[in-house]
Amino acid sequence: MIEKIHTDDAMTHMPFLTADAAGRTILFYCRSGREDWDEVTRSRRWKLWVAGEDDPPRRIATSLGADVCECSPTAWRDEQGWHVTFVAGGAKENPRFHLYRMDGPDLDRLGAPVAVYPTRTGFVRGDRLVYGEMENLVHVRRLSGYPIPQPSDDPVSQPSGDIDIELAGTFIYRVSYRADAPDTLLITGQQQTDDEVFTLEYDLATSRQHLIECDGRPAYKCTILGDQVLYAHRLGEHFETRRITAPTNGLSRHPTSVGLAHRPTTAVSIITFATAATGPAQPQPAATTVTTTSAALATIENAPSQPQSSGPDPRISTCLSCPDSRACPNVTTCCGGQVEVNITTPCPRGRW
Amino acid sequence: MATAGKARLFKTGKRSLRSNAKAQLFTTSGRCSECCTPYVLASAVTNSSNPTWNLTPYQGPGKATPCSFWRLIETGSCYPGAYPWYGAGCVDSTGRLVNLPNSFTSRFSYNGYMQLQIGCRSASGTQINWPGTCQNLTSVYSC
Repeated sequence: MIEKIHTDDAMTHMPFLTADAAGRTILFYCRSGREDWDEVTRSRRWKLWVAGEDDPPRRIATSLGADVCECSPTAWRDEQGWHVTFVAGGAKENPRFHLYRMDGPDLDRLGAPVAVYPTRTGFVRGDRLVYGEMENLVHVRRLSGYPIPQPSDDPVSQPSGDIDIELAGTFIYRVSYRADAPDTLLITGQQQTDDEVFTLEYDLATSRQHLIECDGRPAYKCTILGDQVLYAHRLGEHFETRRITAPTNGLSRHPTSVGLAHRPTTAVSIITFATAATGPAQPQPAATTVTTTSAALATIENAPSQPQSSGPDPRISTCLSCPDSRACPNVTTCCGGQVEVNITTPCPRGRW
Repeated sequence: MATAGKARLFKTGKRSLRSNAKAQLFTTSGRCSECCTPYVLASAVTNSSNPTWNLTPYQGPGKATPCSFWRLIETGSCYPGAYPWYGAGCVDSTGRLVNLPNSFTSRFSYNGYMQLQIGCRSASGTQINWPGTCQNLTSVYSC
């Protein structure tokens, strides 16, 4: 299978292994050829592909624009046929990413993609929607049907069984699952402090979790089906210069408790951010009252205000003692990940 | 009354053209524009191969509509539940983006679709209109 998809110098990424009705292995993945390298943005465009044990690799037609990046495919099959989900975005006109799904009786007759949720990472599998924030949080939601709840909906009203998995101090780059064990999530990300990547295998049924390595390296964006394992191995200077690889020495699991699961709550926190500004100290609007349609921010703004005191909250000093901390009057607690804020005046990110 | 482009003086102030050819008005004191249109001053894509965006070209007077607002925002992840702002401030009466940092560096390995936006106070005076579709109406902040 791997040899089949690497007949030229194209890069491959985001593998997802599953089986067809006859039990034959199918590999969904993303591919980026030489023509897909954008020198201006120094990044790649990716497109969805699929290859079978007996079928040559082929593009999955999505009808999305040529400049749209398609990534993170997953798929399941039932009596109605195939259901493919993927994440796409990055178009010049509107770069916002969404989770899409396409359904059809077979992979060559999939319907038009439907944007089901605005996110950069995630999937739908049956009645389960899983999506990640850019940082720190993965949300697992049980769906009773369409329409899928939108972010502005009250999280308390979500069906029971929903959980959030918190991975403090990380960027979330992919959320997938094992096709042969759909309760087992595969969450790939990167530590914000040291750039180390990881993949966490998280069993929703037992809450057991492991960090996964292949050949002694983090199994970046891996897929597992039975005893088959594939991951995206970095080849070159650029972060996205990767090819799907099978480990030569197998897969190793290391128990961990890095993921903290909890029920969705209205107590939303602002957390460490995806990017950081450099240069001189930044301004702090004296009375920022930025509001959005965000449920999260609305919740924050409605949160009980912290007791006022004449001096700065001592927890800010704690925060400032952290080597990588940033100061903002709104911060009440922080250090290495979760930051809670006393928001009447949310700090623009990068400012605490 | 530092501005870019051509200007015409009137009894009540000055009418001039921004670098994008749109008009703007100033009072005779030069302190405030009475005509402000939200717009994207600059944009860039950051990623691990290209993590730093040099913002120094947008520092100094005459870079934006006086008395407006600026923000640094990532538009690829502009979701209702997200807060994709990476900096914000005011534009002073000379058109200078107050406290705009020298640069912006992303630690996110994948593409960040960054925009430096100029926002305008709404007619009611309590909100800011921003360009585009990403959180394009927010409450006024003071600087």
